[in-house]
Amino acid sequence: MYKKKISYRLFIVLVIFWIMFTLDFSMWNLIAGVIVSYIISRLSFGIYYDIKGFKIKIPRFTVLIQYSLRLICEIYKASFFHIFRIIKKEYAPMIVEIELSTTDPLIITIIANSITLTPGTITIDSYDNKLLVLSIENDGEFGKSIERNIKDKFESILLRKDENIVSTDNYGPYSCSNGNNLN
Amino acid sequence: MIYKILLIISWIYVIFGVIGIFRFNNMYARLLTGSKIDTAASITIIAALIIRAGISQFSIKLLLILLFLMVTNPISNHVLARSAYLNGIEVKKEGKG
Repeated sequence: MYKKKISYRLFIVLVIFWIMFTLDFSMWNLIAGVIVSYIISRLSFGIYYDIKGFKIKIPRFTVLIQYSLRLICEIYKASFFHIFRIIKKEYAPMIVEIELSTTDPLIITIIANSITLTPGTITIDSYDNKLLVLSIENDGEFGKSIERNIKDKFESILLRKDENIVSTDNYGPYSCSNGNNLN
Repeated sequence: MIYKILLIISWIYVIFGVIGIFRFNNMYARLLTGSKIDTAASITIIAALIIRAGISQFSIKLLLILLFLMVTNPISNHVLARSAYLNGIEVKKEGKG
């Protein structure tokens, strides 16, 4: 049986977030932050990290910034299209199955969240690397154009090969094998 | 000035979102319209507030709130759509306006 180890990186990040949220540098507040961060870091053992290191691989910060900007652009673009749809009262909801190229649970979760954030599409379910997406517009190609859009706009940025992925693992790359996403 | 424009844009999103909910007859279409208010309008309102507050502690908090909102917001819509789908509500156009 492993002895529970605390991840100091996670602990420091949590303390920084606590300070940023409260912006109170009094002693009692800092002590409370340290205690809460320690408890959360301790409870995250086995979920977020284990004895080998972190269970997930996080994309690089620059990639995340680039992805967020693209996502915000897509949200606004889709919102304007949705306003026209409301005015014209055009809707034909359909469910599309999208198969992603990746099997990384974190990337699948990010893409599923982005799909739901974009007006006009909602992720209903996911299994393996497939996503069930509800779209308000029938593209007339059995969802092919929706799949193409999602792959080009979202997946392509996150999946510019592995050089964009930072392994947070101290013992080399390690990907989560039992991560559940969305469910 | 910019924050006022952003606030007006967010009102437009909210107004059209509400109109869309009443205009569409399909449950899924209504859900998809409601999610527009959740995301586009809330992001615009927080962006307007950040611009209004300028560079201050308050904007840092707002930025973090925006980050958390973008991560947690889609979950409610996803849960609603998933439960509707699993309960067998058909995805098709239900009648005409």
